[in-house]
Amino acid sequence: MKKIEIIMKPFKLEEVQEAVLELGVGGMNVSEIKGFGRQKGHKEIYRGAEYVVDFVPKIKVEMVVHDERVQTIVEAVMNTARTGEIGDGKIFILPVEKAIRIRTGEEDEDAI
Amino acid sequence: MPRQRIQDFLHQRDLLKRRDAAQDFGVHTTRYYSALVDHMVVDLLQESGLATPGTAESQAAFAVAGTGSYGRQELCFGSDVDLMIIHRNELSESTRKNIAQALYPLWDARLDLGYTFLTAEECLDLMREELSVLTATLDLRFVYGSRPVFREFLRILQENVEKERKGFLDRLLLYQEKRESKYGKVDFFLEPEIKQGLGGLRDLHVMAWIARLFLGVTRLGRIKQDPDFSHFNLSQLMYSKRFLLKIRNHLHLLSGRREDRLLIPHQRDIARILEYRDRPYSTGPERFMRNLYLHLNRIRYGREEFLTKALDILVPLPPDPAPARVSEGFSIHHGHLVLDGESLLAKSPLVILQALNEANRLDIFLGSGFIWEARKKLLFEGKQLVDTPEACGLFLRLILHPRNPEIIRLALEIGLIDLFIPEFRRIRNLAQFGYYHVETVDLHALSTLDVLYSLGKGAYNDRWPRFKAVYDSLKNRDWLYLAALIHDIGKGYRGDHAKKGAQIVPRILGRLGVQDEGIRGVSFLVENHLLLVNTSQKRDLNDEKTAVQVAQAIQRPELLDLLFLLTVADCFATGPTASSDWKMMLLMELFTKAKHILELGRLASADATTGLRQKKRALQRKLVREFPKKDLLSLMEQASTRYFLNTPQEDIERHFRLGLRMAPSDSLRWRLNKLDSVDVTQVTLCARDRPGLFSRMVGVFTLNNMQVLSARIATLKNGLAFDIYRVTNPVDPFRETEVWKKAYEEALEAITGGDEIDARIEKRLLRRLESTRMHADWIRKVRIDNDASDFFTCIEVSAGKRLGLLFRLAKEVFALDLNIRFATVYTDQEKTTGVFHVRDTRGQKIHDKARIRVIRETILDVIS
Repeated sequence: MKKIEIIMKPFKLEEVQEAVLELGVGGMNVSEIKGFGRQKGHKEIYRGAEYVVDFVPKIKVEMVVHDERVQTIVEAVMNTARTGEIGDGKIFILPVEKAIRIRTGEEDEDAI
Repeated sequence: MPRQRIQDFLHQRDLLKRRDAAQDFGVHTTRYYSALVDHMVVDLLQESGLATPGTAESQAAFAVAGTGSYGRQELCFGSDVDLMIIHRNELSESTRKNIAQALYPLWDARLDLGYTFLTAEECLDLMREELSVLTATLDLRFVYGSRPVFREFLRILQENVEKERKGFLDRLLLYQEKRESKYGKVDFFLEPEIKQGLGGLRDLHVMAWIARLFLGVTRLGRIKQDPDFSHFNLSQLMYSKRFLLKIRNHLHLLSGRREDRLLIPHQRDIARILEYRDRPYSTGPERFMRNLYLHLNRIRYGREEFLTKALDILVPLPPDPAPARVSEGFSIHHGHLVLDGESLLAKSPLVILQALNEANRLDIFLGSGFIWEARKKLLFEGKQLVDTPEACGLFLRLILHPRNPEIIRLALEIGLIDLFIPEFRRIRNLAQFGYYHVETVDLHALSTLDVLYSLGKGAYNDRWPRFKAVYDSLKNRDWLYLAALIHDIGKGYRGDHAKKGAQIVPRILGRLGVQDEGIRGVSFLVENHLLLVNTSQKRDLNDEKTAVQVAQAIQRPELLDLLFLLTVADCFATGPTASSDWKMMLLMELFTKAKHILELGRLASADATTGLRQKKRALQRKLVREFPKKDLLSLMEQASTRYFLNTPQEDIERHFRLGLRMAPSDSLRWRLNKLDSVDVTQVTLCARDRPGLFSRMVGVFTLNNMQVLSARIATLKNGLAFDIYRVTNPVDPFRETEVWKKAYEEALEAITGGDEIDARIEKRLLRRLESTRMHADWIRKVRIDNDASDFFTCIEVSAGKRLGLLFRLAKEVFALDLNIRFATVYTDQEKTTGVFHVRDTRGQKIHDKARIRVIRETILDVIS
């Protein structure tokens, strides 16, 4: 099992969500986060005053899937989340040691 | 014996359930049920063989008292039975065991029994540690045993509590605060907790506890005996209590246990049981929940009112310095506004509005006698009030300057807002699902007003100083407040609530005497109050088109300011999730960008907006017969506003024809048109954009001895380039076709191939450049502007005309890792001017000062 963590631009959420659900992924978590990478922040100028924005709003999506699925999911995310411009985000893939469904006690593959 | 007794009890309880379910299940049922338990407890204890306490045989006197809901006689079908066994520290171990055993069969009656043995001293010690023990003693009710022992117990407690009054009061208030913060969240709004939640039974308990502890009133029902509470709206509260108990009983029966949370499936079931039928505009469960919220809101408001008054008495604040001037006819009594002279009932109802305005202005509240009279007056004479312009003016003044939120809330509670805005009734107590709301729609509207006012006073300056800056610059602030009050009024109707609300606005505001311009402004704000939030979260803010479209939809900078503040207030009034930093940052970015577009004027002016629409429509009309509509629309989506505005209609058509015919394997399609009056050919092309495309195209033309007189470049989101070049015709008119064919091949090679073509062009050009003279070499200008646009860095170049200049320029610009998004280049007799809108290869503006310097120097180098 692998955990896929995607950090991407906020307006891409719906598209990515649809694409991933179409692949049969059971569920996912979404969080609103702020961050910066090479994009850094930017300056907003309003009426002659400069406001520095350090962190940029992003969306983080997390899901745990079977190993065989990782490739197709990553491809789908790349296709939908990409705008070609800086700030598109990143995908991280982490190994998952164990998964347990709280309600039934099912483990690992049965739990995701 | 006990077993039979238990059976009897169970049987009677069943009867009670079945009998009352059809009728009420409210207070009457809970009292009856409590009584049933009383009798059983008494019987069990009497039959147990325990000597009747207080007789000669038993030295140890004790009293059994009920507490909690049992003590309050509010026992619901799933409630616990809590007992306190009070004694004087003379009970032997065996007596205790006997008592416990006597009560044991209660478990067989499927009652969750809880009991403790306590002396007065033990109880006092516990009370100091645990608030729940204190409140338990406040609900104590004698059930069996020695009344003297019971009374003595209470007396001792009372004495000590009186001494430590402040400490206990503080802890109670703290408890209340924690409740409010815990249960004020979204999930408890959607699925309310009937007992502990806001406006639930606990609110009534808190009131009762305070009344008992500090006001010397044994039962809340007696509160009106206290002169300070003579006008308290008690009967309505008691009615609401009955309603909640009824719901609680149904809930316990449905879930089979003590479930006090009205989960959504339960909402459906109970709505059905209580026969809330579906109506055209709302379903049964919706109507049920609305009714529930009526009661929850009412209890909540009652509790707020009660606590404010009680605290005024118990912990009176030092009196505020008397306000500078109180208007004639009014005075201040105990910090509240009251009428001079005769009672309100003898005066015109207009006085009510005047009083509210006065209290609002002074930021104080009204005396409760006045409130009571005002309610009555409005009930009978309210209708006449509405028609007078003076009254409307006073009502508007209240709404437009909502200094004291309690006064505005009061206006709602006494029915004033409903009177002037009958449509408001539709959103009273209306729960709203989704979007993180924590309040019913009517209260949310009032909160929005309050947020706006606070914002204007600088309450958000720490985190968002820009809010107040925008607020201060407004001219039509009134529109903002009006929109805040009625922005969600459409929720009381079916369909898109923003649109519906905008439709209703003229009716509402016309009635109140608002001018046409204001009506239009507020309508617009209401109709678009979700635009900024939706756009900022769902569209690419890095795309100029997003900001342009918002700017075009709004047109006027002040309307954008108003809409922005309305959106902000709406978010903060909704709840913490809707107004998170994250969401505010996105909103702010969109606002700033749209504002700049509006200020620059070009892309979003009224003319631009109309022009854009016309062009798009004309394009559709022309091409929809030749190409599938879906493809056409999709391609139009990829082209920016700039492109549409700056490109002549027939060129747009040419580009789109080329673009729609591009197969995935195509890299270049172009079309040649010879211009009539001059020796110029226009090359309209569509190509797959790649780094250096512009410079290579120019290179190809130059290579073929075609001078590039002008160029217009636009890149689409999907990676296509829509370019237009005007070049001088090939020198030899007889070999034109061949030359163009060759040019096409070379262009194709340039696009698909590598750097060899570059090298070839360089070689050829170098040979020629040596022999060329530069015209007008004094013209040399480079300007790099990062302020003109939020999306591009703008590079302006003017240079003396020279062969190959454009190629060089284009090449150097590209070589600096710049991505040309739009460009307009023009060459005349003397000079070449180019305006390039660029981004770096990552899609950002060029911010780095060092880099900008390098760009400027490089370009200067080329053009010198």
